[in-house]
Amino acid sequence: MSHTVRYDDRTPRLFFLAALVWAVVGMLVGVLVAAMLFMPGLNLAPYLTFGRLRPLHTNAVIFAFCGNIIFGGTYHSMQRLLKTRLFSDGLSKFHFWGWQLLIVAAALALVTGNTQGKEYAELPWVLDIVIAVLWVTFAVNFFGTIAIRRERHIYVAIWFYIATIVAVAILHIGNSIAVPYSLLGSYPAYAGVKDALMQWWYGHNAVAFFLTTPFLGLMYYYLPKAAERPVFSYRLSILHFWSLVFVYIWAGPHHLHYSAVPEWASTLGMLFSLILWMPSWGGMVNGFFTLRGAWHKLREDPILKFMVVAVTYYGMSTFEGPMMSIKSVNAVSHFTDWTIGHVHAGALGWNAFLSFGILYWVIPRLWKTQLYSPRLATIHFWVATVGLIAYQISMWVAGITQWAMWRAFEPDGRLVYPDFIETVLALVPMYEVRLIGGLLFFSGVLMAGWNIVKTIQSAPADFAVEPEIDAPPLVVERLAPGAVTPANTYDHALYAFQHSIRHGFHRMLESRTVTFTVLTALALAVGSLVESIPMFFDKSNVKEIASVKPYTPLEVTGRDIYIREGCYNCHSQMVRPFRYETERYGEYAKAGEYVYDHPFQWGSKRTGPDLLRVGGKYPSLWHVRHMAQPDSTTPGSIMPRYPHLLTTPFDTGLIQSKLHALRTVGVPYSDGEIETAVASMQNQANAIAKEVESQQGPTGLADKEIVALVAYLQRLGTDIRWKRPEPQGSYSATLQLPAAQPAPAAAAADPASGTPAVQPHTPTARSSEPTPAAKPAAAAHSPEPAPRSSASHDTSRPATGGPTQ
Amino acid sequence: MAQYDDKVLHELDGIKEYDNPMPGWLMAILWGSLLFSAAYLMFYALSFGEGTMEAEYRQQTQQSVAAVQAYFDANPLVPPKPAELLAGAGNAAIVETGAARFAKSCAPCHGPQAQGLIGPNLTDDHWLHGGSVEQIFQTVAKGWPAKGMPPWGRALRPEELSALVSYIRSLQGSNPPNPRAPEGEVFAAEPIAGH
Repeated sequence: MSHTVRYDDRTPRLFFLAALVWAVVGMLVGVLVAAMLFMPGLNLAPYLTFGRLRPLHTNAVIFAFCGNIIFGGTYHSMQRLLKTRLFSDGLSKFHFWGWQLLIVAAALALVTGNTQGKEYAELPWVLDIVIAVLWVTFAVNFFGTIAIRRERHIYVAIWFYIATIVAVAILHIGNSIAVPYSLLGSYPAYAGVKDALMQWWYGHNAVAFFLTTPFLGLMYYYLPKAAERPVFSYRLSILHFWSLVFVYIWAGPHHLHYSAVPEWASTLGMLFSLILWMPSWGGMVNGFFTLRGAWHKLREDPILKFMVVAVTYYGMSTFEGPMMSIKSVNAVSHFTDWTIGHVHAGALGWNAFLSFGILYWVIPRLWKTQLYSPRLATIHFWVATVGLIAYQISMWVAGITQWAMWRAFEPDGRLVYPDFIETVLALVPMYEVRLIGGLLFFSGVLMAGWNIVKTIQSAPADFAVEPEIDAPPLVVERLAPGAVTPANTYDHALYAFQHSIRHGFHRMLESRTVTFTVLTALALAVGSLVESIPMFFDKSNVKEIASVKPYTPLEVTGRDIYIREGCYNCHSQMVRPFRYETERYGEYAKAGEYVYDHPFQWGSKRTGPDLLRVGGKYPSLWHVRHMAQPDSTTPGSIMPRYPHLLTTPFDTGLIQSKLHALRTVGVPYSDGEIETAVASMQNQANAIAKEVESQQGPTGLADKEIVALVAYLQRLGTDIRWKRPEPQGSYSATLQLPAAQPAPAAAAADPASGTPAVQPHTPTARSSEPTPAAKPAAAAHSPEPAPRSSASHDTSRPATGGPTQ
Repeated sequence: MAQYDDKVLHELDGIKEYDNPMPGWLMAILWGSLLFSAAYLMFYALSFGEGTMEAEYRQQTQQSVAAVQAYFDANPLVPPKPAELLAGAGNAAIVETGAARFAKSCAPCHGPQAQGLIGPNLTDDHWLHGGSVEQIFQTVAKGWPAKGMPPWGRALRPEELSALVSYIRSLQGSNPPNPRAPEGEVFAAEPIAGH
């Protein structure tokens, strides 16, 4: 066997260049969506609206920009750490071009509204399969390279790459299980609370195993290289690697505090997030202390500047994260811009800074030249740092401001800001500062692009000649003196064991990569199984509510429009058990209300108000006008306009496949309901269109998407009955209503007329009995089933003040 | 700062590894967070049922309802007399307050000139729920939730509520363009004091 090894540097070169391109694209979209938050005119319906572009931004920066950095860095560093060429040139090529095509397909899918409606897992099921295939390609190439390595022990960077590959595979498959109803459409196997737990098990660990472990691996290679200093502590590497892998996977439920998930899950999520503090900081300590003796280089070297700030931000984010996972802190930060600030501190501060540090270090080496302008790189560093700080501080201020405004009460029990829009418009100055911060960061990326292009242009003609090194192939070690056969006696086996661990147990593991990988998978499995198994087998976690019924075919269609337009990016459907939320929105959410929600749509950010109990709160005409032109019903609204909903007919061709798919995942539709689905849709749509007409609204909406969406919105949160506590003495409790008759307009629609099988839950025919006075507070808690006959749909519910929410 | 021995343990591709001991403060964080978690879990395990989210919320609600009750007991809310509302309709300052609130909260449904849009026209002499200022006040304060009219008594200051009703009364017969068709029953407007 030849002793000569030639490295494949073409593959990392391609991945790094692609990363740069996607950095520009992804962050440009980021700047655009940041601007949309106070300049809603920038939304160009139907394709370029906030709800569709925000997932494009997140997917582009995470999976396109960071993904390409991960692949490029892994392929570049692993060859050198294992002293071997990548396993297969063909797989490398397939991996590279496949991933870029996937990104383009993903972008097209997202702007055309083909989304699964789960954050960071939006892509349609077909693309999920493509991702899986490409990830397996990566894994085969990676483990193949490990198999042909010429270095016995794998370095800590490789441990982190292994964890990345194993974990992302488990998470992606676990969260993406869905039943398709068309080439691009599907419903996830899980519903409501279970879907939420699976999603945030995935979502949080996408942060862990896509944005943390691979980047720690990269840090362990490129930081000591750039600083030319030894890694501080091997034993710290071992402790923080295993603790990070074992602990991280438990932390997901901290995204669901005070929601309808069972409290034990939320508690586990919080505690494991706190325990995660040290394992995370282990990486920071090893990074910082590696720089001992190299701090003076920081003055001169822009690369080290980037890396040091990256490690600093890693430390800050992994401290802020555990703090935000404490329930009472999370009560403040959740649904506000604080979360957005936290994410960007990590993504820009840690991932992007480390990425650019790596790019500035590796590009000149891969093209056998010098960095074109270290000065420009230094300017990039300062501009990006200032931008990041502006971003982070404005989001802290915005988050805490919004929380404080949401919860402010007057002494007489009224909300100080009953109109949600007031709490949005108060943030506009902070959104402007954030845009400036984002623009600064983005201009830094452009500088990097220019600098790198010029660097590459200065490359010598022979830059592509593959570097050659001398590395003998590994030989099988003799286990014991004279032994050429496997151990065959007790003494022999004991001797062999002692021999193999002579440098410590972990050192032995580092040479047994299969065992290492299996142990990593086991460490990941513990938390995953402990948190998910009870959810699927212990029914007490999701208490059944008899009055909660599946959506009607029209409501299913409306829900799909809600998902398509990405409403969940700005609106939650999760009223938390806080006085200030129930006063504003109505009764807090119960797990049993979501059992037919495939996928769940709880959201994670309230740029607009919660919608869980929006059903019946406004006349249907209000919704029609609001969707066409939001600022006509909510002065100052920053919501995009959706005029096309009033002109596009809703789809009836797929409804039966949709209902079949939903039945497969457990929604009890009968054969009859599926057969008569189209007729049922038309009946319910006619009723709503008639109601809108009777309210003197636009005519001819009976086959348009808007009525499907309105049907869904009017259904939301109306399956249970609830009463708001009314203190005696308040106007709403004591005043007697004049004895006038309800106008005929409100009773115009007749939902029962000839409706086959599925009863449409038209919210129009509600009796308007006066709210009974002063209910004791405790009575507001257990949900009573709502009577579900089409004739009397009596959910007398006092709406909260302010139609301009 | 502890002294480290900086002994090189391994070397790979030019990267050396020391095996320095882990900083004590970092280990303190690990043991501290483990201890806290164990204690927290014990506390929760022992107090299941109470101390839960729902119990906390119940308590919160009772407290806040009691506090509001105490506030109303000390500051009883007295609905304005029709005469006061009618006098307000002739008072420029009050009408201006009412107009400002109307633009924010009412115009989206009743139109900027109260000509009616989603909700009824408020300038004509037809009323769905009674056209006396007393009835208008009740309708605004209490709302008709089932028909999409929110109970503004939950949201607005009492002075603002009164000003709003005075403003609405002042719009009677203003004949704005593009009015919504009349709804309800005819009511002859009460005279505004001072006119």
